[in-house]
Amino acid sequence: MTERRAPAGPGEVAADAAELGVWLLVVSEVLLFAGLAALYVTTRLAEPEAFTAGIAHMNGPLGALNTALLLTSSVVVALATTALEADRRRVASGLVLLTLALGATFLAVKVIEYRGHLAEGLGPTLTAGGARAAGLPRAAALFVSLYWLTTALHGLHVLAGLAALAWAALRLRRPGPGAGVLPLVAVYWHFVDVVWIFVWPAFYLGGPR
Amino acid sequence: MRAGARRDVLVGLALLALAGTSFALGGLALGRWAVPVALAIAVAKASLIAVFFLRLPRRRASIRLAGTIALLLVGLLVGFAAADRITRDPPPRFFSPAMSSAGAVD
Repeated sequence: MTERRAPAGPGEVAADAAELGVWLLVVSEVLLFAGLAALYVTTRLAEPEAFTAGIAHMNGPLGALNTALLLTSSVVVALATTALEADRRRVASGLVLLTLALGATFLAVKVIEYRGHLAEGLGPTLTAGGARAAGLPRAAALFVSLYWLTTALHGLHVLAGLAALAWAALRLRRPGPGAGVLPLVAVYWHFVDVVWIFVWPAFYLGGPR
Repeated sequence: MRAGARRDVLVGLALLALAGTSFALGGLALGRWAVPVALAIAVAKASLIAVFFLRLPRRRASIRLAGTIALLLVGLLVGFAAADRITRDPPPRFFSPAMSSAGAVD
């Protein structure tokens, strides 16, 4: 005879709904970046030499640093979630603050990178003629535009993630069930990291050094 | 260190090792293998995050379904966009070959 599961209480239903809501948000954002990925793939297939030349102008060490920062932040927020599951709220709170610091450092490094690109004349409105003037193939303007669009959009998502992490850190400091937002925020933060995992090789690796 | 935290740290070290490998290989002249290798390493990193941090295999069916559909749609969109380009003869370019190269006349 099959066992009948006790009906879920209102709290459990609300928690399940919140979890599904965050995942549906992540799915919709994945589709947004999928469109950019399709644009990247078709453009790179059309102008492979221009992309290779464009990648050579990217700041490889800063890109690698940013990758290390985001990967580490994913580990730290995972540790925070694990600490919360063990009912160690103060540890979880400290780890969330560390994740915030790593994410903020990522954005600071990105700003430094952007300033470097602008100083080189490789801004988001670069034209084909502007690419030639900067010593790149004309078609590299496509690479540069895609780079700015993709990384700026990703940066906005990082900013939103930082706001969510700050909110989670505040909830952790207060007594009560509010700490349950941390696993939901962690899901979004891991998504931000996964996007960068694919952005990094697309725009920074594979060119001459 | 507790078991859960130890797992998280080990996965983190694996992620950083993969990133380091990617960076090292990115500087080598892998030719046509550069993109598949970089993509394979990226997929490996994303999979580690999906399995150990997002804990996707242990989530409810509705969430696993949402994740699977997202992956499917990404694959379809990117796959068909690439196939469209690859299967045209000759493959269309945004700029003519003379305009694309660095030594082209303006």
